[in-house]
Amino acid sequence: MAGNEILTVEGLARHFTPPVSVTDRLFGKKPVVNRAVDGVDLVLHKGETLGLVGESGCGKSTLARSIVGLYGLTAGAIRYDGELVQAKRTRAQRLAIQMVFQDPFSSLNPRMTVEQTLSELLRFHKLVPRNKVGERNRELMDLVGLPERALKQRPRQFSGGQRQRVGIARALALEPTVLIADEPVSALDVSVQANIINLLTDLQERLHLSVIFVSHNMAVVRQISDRTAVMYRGRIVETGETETLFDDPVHPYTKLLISSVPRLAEAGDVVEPDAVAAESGVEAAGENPMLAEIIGSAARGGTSPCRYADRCPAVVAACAVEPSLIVDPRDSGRSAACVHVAERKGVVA
Amino acid sequence: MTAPLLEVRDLHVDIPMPHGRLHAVRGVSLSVGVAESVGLVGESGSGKSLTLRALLGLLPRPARIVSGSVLIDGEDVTGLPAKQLHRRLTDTMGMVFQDALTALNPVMRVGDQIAEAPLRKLGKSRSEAKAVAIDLMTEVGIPDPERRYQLYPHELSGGMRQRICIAIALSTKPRLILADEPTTALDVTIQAQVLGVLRRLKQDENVGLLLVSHDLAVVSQTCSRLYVMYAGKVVESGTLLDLITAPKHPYTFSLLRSVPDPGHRVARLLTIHGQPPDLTDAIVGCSFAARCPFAEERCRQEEPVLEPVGSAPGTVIRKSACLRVDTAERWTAMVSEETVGQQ
Amino acid sequence: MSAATSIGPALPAVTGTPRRRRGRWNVPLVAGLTLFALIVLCAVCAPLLTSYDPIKQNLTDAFLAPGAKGHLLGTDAFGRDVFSRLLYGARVDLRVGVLAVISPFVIGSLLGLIAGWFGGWVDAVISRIVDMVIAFPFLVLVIALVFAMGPGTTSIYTAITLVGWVAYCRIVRGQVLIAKEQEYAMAARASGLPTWRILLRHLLPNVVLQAFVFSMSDIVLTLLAIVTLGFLGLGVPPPTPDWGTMIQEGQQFILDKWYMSTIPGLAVVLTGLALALIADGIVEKANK
Repeated sequence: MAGNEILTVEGLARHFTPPVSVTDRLFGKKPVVNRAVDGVDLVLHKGETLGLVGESGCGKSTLARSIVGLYGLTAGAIRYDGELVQAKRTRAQRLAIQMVFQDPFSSLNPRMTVEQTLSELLRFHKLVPRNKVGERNRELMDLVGLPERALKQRPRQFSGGQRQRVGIARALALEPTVLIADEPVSALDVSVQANIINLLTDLQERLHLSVIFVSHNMAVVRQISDRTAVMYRGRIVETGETETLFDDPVHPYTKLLISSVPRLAEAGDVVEPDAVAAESGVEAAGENPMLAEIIGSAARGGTSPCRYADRCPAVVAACAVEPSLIVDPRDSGRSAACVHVAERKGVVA
Repeated sequence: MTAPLLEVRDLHVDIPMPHGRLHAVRGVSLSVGVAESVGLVGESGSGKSLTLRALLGLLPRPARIVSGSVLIDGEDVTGLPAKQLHRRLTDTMGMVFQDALTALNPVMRVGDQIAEAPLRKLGKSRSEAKAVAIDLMTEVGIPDPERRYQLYPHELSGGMRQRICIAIALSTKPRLILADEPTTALDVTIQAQVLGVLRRLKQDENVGLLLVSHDLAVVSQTCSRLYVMYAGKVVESGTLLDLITAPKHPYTFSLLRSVPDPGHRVARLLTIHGQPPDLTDAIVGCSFAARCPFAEERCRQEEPVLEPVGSAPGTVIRKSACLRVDTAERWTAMVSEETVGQQ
Repeated sequence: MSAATSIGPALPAVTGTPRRRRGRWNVPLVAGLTLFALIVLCAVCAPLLTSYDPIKQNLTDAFLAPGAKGHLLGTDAFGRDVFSRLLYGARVDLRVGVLAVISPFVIGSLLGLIAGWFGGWVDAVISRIVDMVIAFPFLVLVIALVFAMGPGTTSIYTAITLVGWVAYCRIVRGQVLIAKEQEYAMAARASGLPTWRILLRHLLPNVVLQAFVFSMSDIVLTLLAIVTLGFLGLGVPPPTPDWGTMIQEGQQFILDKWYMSTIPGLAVVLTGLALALIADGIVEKANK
């Protein structure tokens, strides 16, 4: 797949430092830095959908917003189509990476009609000649499956699903090649989610978009994405083809995540997920002698231990040094940030 | 046949609005047996939460019960004086809410919140109440309960808080727990733990469960019998297995095919067009007709009734409110034909 | 398969808002506007409604009761017709009140917009100035400034602007802090629109409503400030008719000639009522 990358993220970090009051500063109090995104490497190939999953607070939305340029980078770099994206993006770069937001009720300007919203972008960026703006508006409505008369309406006159279609049209107006969708269906009713998932799938095929689909919903990610990246406390802990990642997870966190997702159980076949076993691990964290040992040796060696060590059922001494993504010896398309990956050599699934 | 633990008959709930009445619950009847786990499934606005809240007199203002009766152990308690009724209901049922943080008192130690009911309602002494609270905390899987007894809600994680709420609900020794989307606000790994707690309660303590959720998968993890609600009515009921393997209402049918399954990927999800009807208007015909892939002319005029459909005698009665229920076997084929037709 | 055909049938019905019936009368707005229009009409048509000169003194006809000698509301201590003073006073008061609110409104809103959006040191500087101004009572500061600049309408405008903008600045800043976290503001940034355009076209229309509602009550507060200034001899210079001066002049005769103060007072109340109704109506309309 080399050479096929449209977007590359290298060591991206975004930390937030809360403001410290003057009095606290006088007493030398240091702010607690929130390392929302803490060194992420990610590759998006042309024409693929990459699912980005993780639990709340893992930094997936911050990562998405950093990629779009809404947040500056604390460290790391973003390459678009091989070229380094500078802090001040070129116009082409800015338009090429667009975002669909999560909350259809706050993502549209309540005072503007759909037509005003779209026309503003088309005119300002001179995307079509002035006399073609109306035509392009209608095309966009058709593209997202809304009737033409929707152009004259304001956000409050739409249902959640319809607003999300407008939000998609707004992103598409700028003719992007990369679309970042940040939890685009999680605020919608279950019966409406499929509409938006199918629409995004269709648009992706039709417009040859490359999509990063951010979600906490594992089932939705499995349905929509070609590859999946799992995020935990600011880092990617595993990436791979969606099917293999879901069927045979490598990283202990991915295993826990996937086994925790409730499935439609046939009666009598209620699965007791590993989560219950792992939960005792969470609570007994302090008592695990291996954990105490690696925290100690990490402190002595000046390294940081694996960020999943405190919840992990398979901690070993090597976990004192946080591993970066290690390629699975059996499957070059897949990697995980776990010392156990290398042991998989020779094991045939 | 013994009477069910809880029975609700023909419940109607209205919400007065500036421009008319919103008829939110439109004649819901349901029952929960002793130590039975029952799920109530529907999307937002289907009236599922209001139904649950109406049972404990916890309707948000200005919603009110218009009519309906509640039977406990087969006895109609609706006519009892307000105080007695409240007592009867709260003795039988405990409630767990979606948002554990706001459901707890932020300035009171969580242990004391659990011990409150044993202390004040069951007349236990202070030390007895504390012992009961610690037992309950152990029961809902809170490790190190003596230490956590002393903590305040904000010092606990979301999953722990929800367990505290379950312990509070259990503290009055109810025979039935009502749970309103208890895991919706939680992360999946935590959700799995809380669902495990609810499952164990039924197995070990013989406590019944009435679980409200929009997520069929969550319900399927804990419940053996389901009611599916749409636009203020129950449109289908039956055992979990029957409902998910052979749905007899197009709404259940569509929902099962429109929600992605984490176990596998499908070529294309089924889409349910449009949106639920406005409940301030009178609904003519079937409330799902406008969105139903199988609707025909009479569905838009005749209102379907929730009726038993082909169950063998002695089994749980299977009910569906669909005029075209006789075609249910062919639905899968009809939908795939339609999709092929489009392509 | 073609995506177009599969999207086609997915066309959802655009239903409009089912939960809202349109075409209902906005009662407060209509009532407020009617009342205010009536007051303005009286002010504009003052020469047609009365034949008396509001500043012409006629000491022989002083203290006439309402209705006497064709004086509809009687005369004051200098024998001037109260009714015509009331009408001409409306011209002065409405003009000063409205004008003295426009510039604080504009300046305060813009500074609030800037402080809220950019944050950091810009916000720190603006907010500290606001805190300093707010630390003094409104009237004390206005009086001090007018005193320094000398009495007259220009001084009143300037003083009220210098002190009054802080309220608008605080209101708008608070609203901007909320609005900039809304996803529509982020969407505007993500679509590469320049900052000034996001501020003026996307944020301002959404945050200005609260400031506008406040400005309605601020007009009445400004009227009262002008009354107070008049009381101290720093207001609209006599003999120009204005409601504040009329109330003040009448108060010494309040026991036997109650109408002298009460009627201009009523005029102030009615104007305040009209403006409050308009504010209510606009909020209702905006939330529709």
